[in-house]
Amino acid sequence: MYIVFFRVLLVYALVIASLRLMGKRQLGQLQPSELVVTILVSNIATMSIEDVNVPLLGGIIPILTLVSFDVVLSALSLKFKAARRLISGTPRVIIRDGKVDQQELKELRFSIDDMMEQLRGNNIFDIRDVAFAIVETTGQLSVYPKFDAQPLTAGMIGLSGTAADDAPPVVIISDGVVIDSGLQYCNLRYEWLEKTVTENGYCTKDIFLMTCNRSADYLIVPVQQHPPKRKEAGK
Amino acid sequence: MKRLWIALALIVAINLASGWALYRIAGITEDLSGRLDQILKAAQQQDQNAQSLTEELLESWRAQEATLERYIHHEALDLITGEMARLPVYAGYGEYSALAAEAARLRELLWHTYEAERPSLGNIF
Repeated sequence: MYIVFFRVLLVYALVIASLRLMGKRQLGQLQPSELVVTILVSNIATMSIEDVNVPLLGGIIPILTLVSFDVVLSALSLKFKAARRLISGTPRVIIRDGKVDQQELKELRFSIDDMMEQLRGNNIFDIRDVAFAIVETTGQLSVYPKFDAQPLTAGMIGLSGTAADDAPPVVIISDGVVIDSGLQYCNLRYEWLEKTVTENGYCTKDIFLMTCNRSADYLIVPVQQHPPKRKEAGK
Repeated sequence: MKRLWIALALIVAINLASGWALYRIAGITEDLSGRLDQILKAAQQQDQNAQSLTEELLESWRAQEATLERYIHHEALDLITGEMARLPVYAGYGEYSALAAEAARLRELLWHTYEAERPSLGNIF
């Protein structure tokens, strides 16, 4: 049992390290080669854990080899367009100006139901509202709606914001700990933070979460106090 | 770029480690095979030294097994361990023909185990 326990820990650490080596892209939309690597790594990891007769190196070497080659392939795809085309394919336009390209749909083996489902996922219910619909190499559909069907933006009605509007709020206190980089981002000082927290009747350790933006507009979420347990009658 | 260099370094390290592992397995196989040849010869000559030779072989195997366990399927090694344990008993009872047969079998098993680790076309496919 101990053997399995230690193997699980080691394989777990290895898979985490492998995912980190592959980079954040792996955790987002998967290219075909990345999907293959993910499936293979999980199967190899399982085999290493389940079968104690297989040396652990028999799992470590394949996982590291797969991950290393995936990184090398990604680097080649980045540098050479031909490699990118070969490994990942190219995005394909299936709707142009409200008209469906049936030949492309056929070649992609993309059914009408698939297309309509993905359009609905992009909040498009009428094909005539679509200027361009592109099937990406990950299989996802990206949609550029016609102007009439685009959601209204501030720019369209001539509204303009300040620089602070383009900067989102950031966390400046997390679980009682001050995040210095957050304060720096908001161009605020520690003294302001102390004063603000005190004025609201807290100290730093009482705060579960505090966010703030560059306009010094803040939100404080205090640590939840657990109510005392009710004693049962007669005890 | 950093990830690319790490990946390339890993590929080189894996190749070097695989080469080193194969070299170690070959060395151990040759050493044990040599000892088995001596046992085979002693059995053929019905030499009483066969007993001590088998005990030395078993001792050597126990020391080397831990190294081999890192690279080779444990079931294959367990089979060899079981076979090795018989040798001192055959030698002790003067069963030289059985001892010779077991020694020859073990030699084949060891070389077969080594051959299975070599990167040949037969092994890959």
